[in-house]
Amino acid sequence: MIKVLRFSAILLLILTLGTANAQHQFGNSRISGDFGFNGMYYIPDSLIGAEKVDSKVRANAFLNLLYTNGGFSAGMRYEFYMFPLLDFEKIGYQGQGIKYFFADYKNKFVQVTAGTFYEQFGNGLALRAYEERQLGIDNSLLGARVKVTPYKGIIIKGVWGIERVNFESYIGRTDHVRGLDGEIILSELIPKMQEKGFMANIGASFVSKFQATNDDIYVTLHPDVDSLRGTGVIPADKVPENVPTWATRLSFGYKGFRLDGEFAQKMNDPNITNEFIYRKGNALFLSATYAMKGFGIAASFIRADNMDFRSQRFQNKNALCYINNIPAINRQYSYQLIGNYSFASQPNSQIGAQLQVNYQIPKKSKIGGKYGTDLTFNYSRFHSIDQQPVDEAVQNGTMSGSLGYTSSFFKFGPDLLYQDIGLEISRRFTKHWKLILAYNYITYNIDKLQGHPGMMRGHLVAADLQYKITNKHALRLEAQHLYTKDDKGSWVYGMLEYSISPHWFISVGDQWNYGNENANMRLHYYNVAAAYVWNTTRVAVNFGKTQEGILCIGGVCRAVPASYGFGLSLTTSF
Amino acid sequence: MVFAAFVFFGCDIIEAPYVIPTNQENVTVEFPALDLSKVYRKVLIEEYTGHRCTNCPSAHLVLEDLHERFGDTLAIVGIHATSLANTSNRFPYNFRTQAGDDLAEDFGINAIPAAIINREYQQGGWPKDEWLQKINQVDRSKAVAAIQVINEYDANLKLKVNTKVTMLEDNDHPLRLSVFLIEDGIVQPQMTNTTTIDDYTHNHVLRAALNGTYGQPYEETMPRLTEFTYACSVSFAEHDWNAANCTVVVFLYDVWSDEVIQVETAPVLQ
Repeated sequence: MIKVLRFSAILLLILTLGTANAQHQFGNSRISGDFGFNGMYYIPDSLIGAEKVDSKVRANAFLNLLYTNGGFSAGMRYEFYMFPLLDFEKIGYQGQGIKYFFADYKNKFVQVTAGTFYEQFGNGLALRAYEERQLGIDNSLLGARVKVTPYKGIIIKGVWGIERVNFESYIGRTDHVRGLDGEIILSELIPKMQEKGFMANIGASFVSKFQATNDDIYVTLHPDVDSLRGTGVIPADKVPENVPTWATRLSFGYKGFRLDGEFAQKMNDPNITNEFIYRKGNALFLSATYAMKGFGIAASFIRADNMDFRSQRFQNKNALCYINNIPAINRQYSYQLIGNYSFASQPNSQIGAQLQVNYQIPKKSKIGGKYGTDLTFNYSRFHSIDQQPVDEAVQNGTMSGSLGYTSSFFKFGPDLLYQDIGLEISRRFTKHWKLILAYNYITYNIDKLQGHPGMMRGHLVAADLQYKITNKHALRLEAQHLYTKDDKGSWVYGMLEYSISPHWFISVGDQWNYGNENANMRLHYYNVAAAYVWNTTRVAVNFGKTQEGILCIGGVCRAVPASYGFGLSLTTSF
Repeated sequence: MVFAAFVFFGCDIIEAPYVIPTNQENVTVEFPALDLSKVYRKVLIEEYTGHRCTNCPSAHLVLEDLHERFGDTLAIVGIHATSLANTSNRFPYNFRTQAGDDLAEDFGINAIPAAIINREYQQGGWPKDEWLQKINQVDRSKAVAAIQVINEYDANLKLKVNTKVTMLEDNDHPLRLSVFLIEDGIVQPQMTNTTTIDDYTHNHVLRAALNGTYGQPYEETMPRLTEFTYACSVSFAEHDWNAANCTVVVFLYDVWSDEVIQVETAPVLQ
């Protein structure tokens, strides 16, 4: 069936490609797409830990094609990741083929999709099927989706599909995901609300995953006490095949104020990530923002308890194959030196809050200067949740095969996972000069977030100076210093970028681990890069070293192996 | 609405208890002092067979030959698995076990006869012509661990297997200790190349994995001369097993490599 679908998709595209004119358009039909190639030549470097690899030249490549004609659209993506960049090989994202293909039709009343699709219910606490190419996440669903809008302001969505797991075959899998979501946009339903500056949405979703259970699950009882250690068995008929999660949400806004909240609950879901406990999971996400001219405040809170929701109960903890997504609400940075200390959202155990205040010292004031000065303050703190083992867990010497623990809802657990106190000042001095200064004090629990011992407490000072030489020529200097006595010690980073718009970018940078306790490991990670942009095509080359660490996007992280070499990338869209 | 109904049925609420302890017991016997001069590395051969497998009797002959050649240094377990072990009107006796089915699936056994030696395997196991060669490839120059077994069989038809392991080398890999029960002399039909023998004698038949398919886990680092004991039990009352013909096979294997590092056997009636 899948082969037939794939074949039809390719045929359709070939036919449409053949008939499309230079603008990729004929009649109401339109063809568009994009292509990406990201390759690297790897050079071993034992000091930084860049391994010798069997295939030195590696690349990721893909082509997206989309055909639209009125309400109808069809698309596919071919991916060639047979010899992928090392990062992707490490997470098992290796293979080739058309894993994304769909046909979709929509009108004012209904939208139907067959094939693979991405979808999110609310904030994603129950379902978020999405792609994040840089991370190697693609948990699209292969199946069908129906979206109905029976009345203006009312949206009902239903999905049914098998989750993509890298390049693994869908054939023979028993697991699949079913979901239903309803949303009422009150301000669309009652136009008077909108007129008076109100907005309000309510929504609810229900998602259930199925996976057949054929085997008993063995757990070790009293793993820590030699004389009592034993094996326990969870009989196959005690392993739930259907695991439902439901969520309700609310959004409310009035002028500059907005409140969002969602609460989700998951029924018993013993799996490898929660060590086979039967406790219900739940997650609460709250966010409030207020903005007026020159001032904004945003506060959010999240608590996630046993909410790692995957289509396969034995899926490796490091595999990025979730059904849902517990968002990381901390402020996200692009500073090079704290990239390896980015907070990874902990769906099974996290409670925390984030506060951010923005203030603009008015333009043309004495302190604010001609262009005004932007100040951003933020504070966030995340802990593990409170967990008190249930009696049975104490008796068995393990939480596995019991209700696990009880947890006081708003109590912060003993482990601090991440804390960030930050202040950023951004000021344009003249038409040509702009400076951003930042200070952050970061506390990062390496043990809980990366699985090797340690706690990093570090001060980061960063400066970003932009100088617009002429309308076309610009220079940007980034300088950062991370001061810490923990982990690998202190670092310093400098990067100079020269751009000639709209075509050229050239940059040189170096990251130096000058504070490493081991004098032999005070290494430089330099990088030289250049890019040329022509219309929608960008070609970039780079040469340099990358340190071993993690890459996080939106609180979802994967490991990054150390590497050294020459990179070439090309992207284009049409 | 139909869709909604489908989704709604996606709910399994499981009631406690969830986990059942397996039949672990306290060790109550005294083990004699270990005579290191008498400890040598033994080899485990797991033979996959079936009563409807026409080529299996010739493989049984190979096994008997190996048994004579290696004596008690070779522990033989006959695992009835694959569709050729299914029952039918002509072959009504069920030799299959949960553990046997699990292992056959793990090792990709789909054609029999086949065997796995010390769990150093290729998917599908080795054909009978290679068994001797594979046994000879096992490095038996030294033993990494010693296993002692004392069986207690009481009037209530309960068998308790007491084991003691002494590590003879440092070990930092996770290990598992498996306790299998096998039986000789089961007279039941067997298909051959030419006919069906109604009173065929089946030997070394796996009856049960007494502590689960994969055995008891030990995950901590064990320096040389670490000792640990373990016991488990099973009742013969619910089975048609003949205790006089039964033997306990205890083996220790490396979880990372699957390799069996030591195996010991002891008859149920000692």
